[in-house]
Amino acid sequence: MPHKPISLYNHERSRVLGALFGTLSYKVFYVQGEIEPGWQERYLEKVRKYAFEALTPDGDEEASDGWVPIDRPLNVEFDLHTFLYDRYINLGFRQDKYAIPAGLLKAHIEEREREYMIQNNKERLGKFEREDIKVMVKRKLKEKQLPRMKVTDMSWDLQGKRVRFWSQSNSVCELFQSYFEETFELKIVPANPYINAIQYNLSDALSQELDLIDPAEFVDGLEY
Amino acid sequence: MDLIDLIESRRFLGSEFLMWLWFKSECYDGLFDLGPEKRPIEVILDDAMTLEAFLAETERNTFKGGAPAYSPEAKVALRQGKRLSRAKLRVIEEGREWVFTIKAETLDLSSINIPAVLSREEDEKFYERMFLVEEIENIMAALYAEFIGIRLSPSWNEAMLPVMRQWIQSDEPAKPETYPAAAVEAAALSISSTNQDSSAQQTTGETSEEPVPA
Repeated sequence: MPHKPISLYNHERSRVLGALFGTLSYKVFYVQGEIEPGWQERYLEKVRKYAFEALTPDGDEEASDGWVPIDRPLNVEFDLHTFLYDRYINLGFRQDKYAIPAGLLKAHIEEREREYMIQNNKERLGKFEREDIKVMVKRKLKEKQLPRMKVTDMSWDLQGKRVRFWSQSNSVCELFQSYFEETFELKIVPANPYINAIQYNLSDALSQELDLIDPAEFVDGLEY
Repeated sequence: MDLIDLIESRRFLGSEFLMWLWFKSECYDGLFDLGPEKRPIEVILDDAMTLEAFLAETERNTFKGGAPAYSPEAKVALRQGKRLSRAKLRVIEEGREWVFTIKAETLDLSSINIPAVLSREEDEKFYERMFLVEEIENIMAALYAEFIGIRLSPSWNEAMLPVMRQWIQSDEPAKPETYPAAAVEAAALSISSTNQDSSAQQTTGETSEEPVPA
């Protein structure tokens, strides 16, 4: 028997969660196709595969994305019951990014370049020297700051074949869509007037009409 | 046309849906009989709306406060060819109230204020929130189904569009007899949003070999 999640409501959490509490502003996606048998183990494996990996100051990456448990964004240990809530799969989509202010980075690079030239008795720096200094300065600055963290909730209603994603930003939704499709091996399409209309299983005649209609002219004599 | 083209070229249906909703709400003072089962609900355009020029989104009128749907300024914007692109709606069913903003281009709902969650058990609150969200989605799906049924039928051009044009030009508020109910009733009921529910049940059946843990 599956155990219940420890607590969906950690009052000390530092972020506003959509699915569990907080603002209800989300994007609906319709799931295409059917869930294949054996999905539990496969989904667990894939969620682990696409789990969030923390950024490190030594690493080259300046941004990282991936799944986290919806109620524990700092934890990336998954078992099936971490994300399966009755007929819902709930996950957090975590995006971390180092955000070093451009002006600060430039000032530190220039300072380090000056020091380097004095130490090495140089008047000019080569391309590779400048690149090395930039990498080193970035690393030092990354050591002094934490990446910016953003977690967006996702709740997939397995029976309703709908995914709710708590962001309406096009760029975040597109990235989420690709993660979802890679992880769960199902296509999803975002809600919009056309997609919502074809959810009604329209007759052939109505489908054809839907594809052909022109915008209505609510005011005579206006050019649309 | 491929799917992307169809999605992009049919986005106008979102603003037409909101225009129709505005018109019908004004005709019946917000009182709707929803779907074939005629569930009584209230749909009110609340205190915020945005109208945009069609195909020229830079021309925009945003109204906040009061009841902009009944303001002369909103009517003037309609007469200039602007369409509803975003509206704050208040939907009431059996004493429960949802307030939210709907965006015409995507039909996304945002800032949804759901009826009070009653569950005390923390884990149950999630399921109750989802239940209340699904309810408002289903109400909006039923309204959109009604609109699509009319929009794709000859009664749109023959009955609905002419009276909406008159309503836009008129300074008088629309009345129940303004709405061409008899002319569009069959079309309105020709599409049922319950088709979505049947696909959901189909999924339930197909996953029943490996049931979702309770």
